[in-house]
Amino acid sequence: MSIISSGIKAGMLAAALICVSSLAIAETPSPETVNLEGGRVLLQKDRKLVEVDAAHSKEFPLRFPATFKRAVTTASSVAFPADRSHVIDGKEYILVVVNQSSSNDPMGYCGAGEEGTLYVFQIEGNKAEPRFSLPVQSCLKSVALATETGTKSPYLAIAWNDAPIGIKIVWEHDADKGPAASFIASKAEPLLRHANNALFRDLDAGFAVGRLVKISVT
Amino acid sequence: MGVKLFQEKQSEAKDAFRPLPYTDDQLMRETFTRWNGGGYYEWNSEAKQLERKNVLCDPTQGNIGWNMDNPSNAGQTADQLHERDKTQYSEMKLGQTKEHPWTYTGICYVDHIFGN
Repeated sequence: MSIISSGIKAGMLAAALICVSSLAIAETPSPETVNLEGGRVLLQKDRKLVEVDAAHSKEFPLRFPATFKRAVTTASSVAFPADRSHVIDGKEYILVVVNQSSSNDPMGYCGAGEEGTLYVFQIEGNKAEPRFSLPVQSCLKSVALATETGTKSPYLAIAWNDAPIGIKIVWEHDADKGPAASFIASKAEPLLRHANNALFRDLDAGFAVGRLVKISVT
Repeated sequence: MGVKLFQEKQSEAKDAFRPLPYTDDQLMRETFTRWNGGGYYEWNSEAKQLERKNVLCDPTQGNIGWNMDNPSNAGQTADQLHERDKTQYSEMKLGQTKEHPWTYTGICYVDHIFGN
């Protein structure tokens, strides 16, 4: 009887440990694909971005600019902040972050760090037209996207914004702008370029009007 | 290490913890991790404490490790993962692929220099 009891106790202990293990936290990841209008999907494959059908069984050509394709080829990582495209004024847009290694010396300053740029593309047929790009994270310059203390992928700090319509980005640290700065690029607000000049490079002035907003630290 | 760079990374670490409490040791580990790249801790809302991210380090390397939340790495030992990926280390970032999801990480950098 005592042997059975010990066995039951051991089993309960094991079950409890499994439960504790299952409660172990893991960072909420950013999406691995982007769902496009019409049912197709954008994903990274073999150091390039490809468009596939919903079943991921057939590839379609999606033409990105040559400079962007080179950036993806040499990227240390690529991330998608949103899992689907966004339609503004009838035009379809996607968000892609391309990271490059900060350094070629792995054990040095920022040897494991990355320099990340957000690209906004408008999808028109099989063409991906760049609308603007913005450096969003940098180990070298100590610019970090918000992660809610490591619980969320930093790329989830970049999101489509409804009012004003555009993109909202929240940083947890920026050596130049201080903590908890956010940026909204939209069509509705004038662009304040001052402190953001070093970070901002617009490819299409028609879309990249926006405003820099400082929000308080909670 | 330049004092200014250290101070900047320490400031970055404090902002990453905000508004949570942290110890001097946690601040030091987060600061040095960010000096090399990445973050060391994540908040466990169930246990209400900061916990080291789920990264397994290659004890034969300075700052190479594996994200154990990745199903391709989960359940394997450092020896097994080392054997799987060691030939890719010389390729540096280009050697980090879907089939070989190892990574440079400041977490292993800190564990290496702190001796654990």
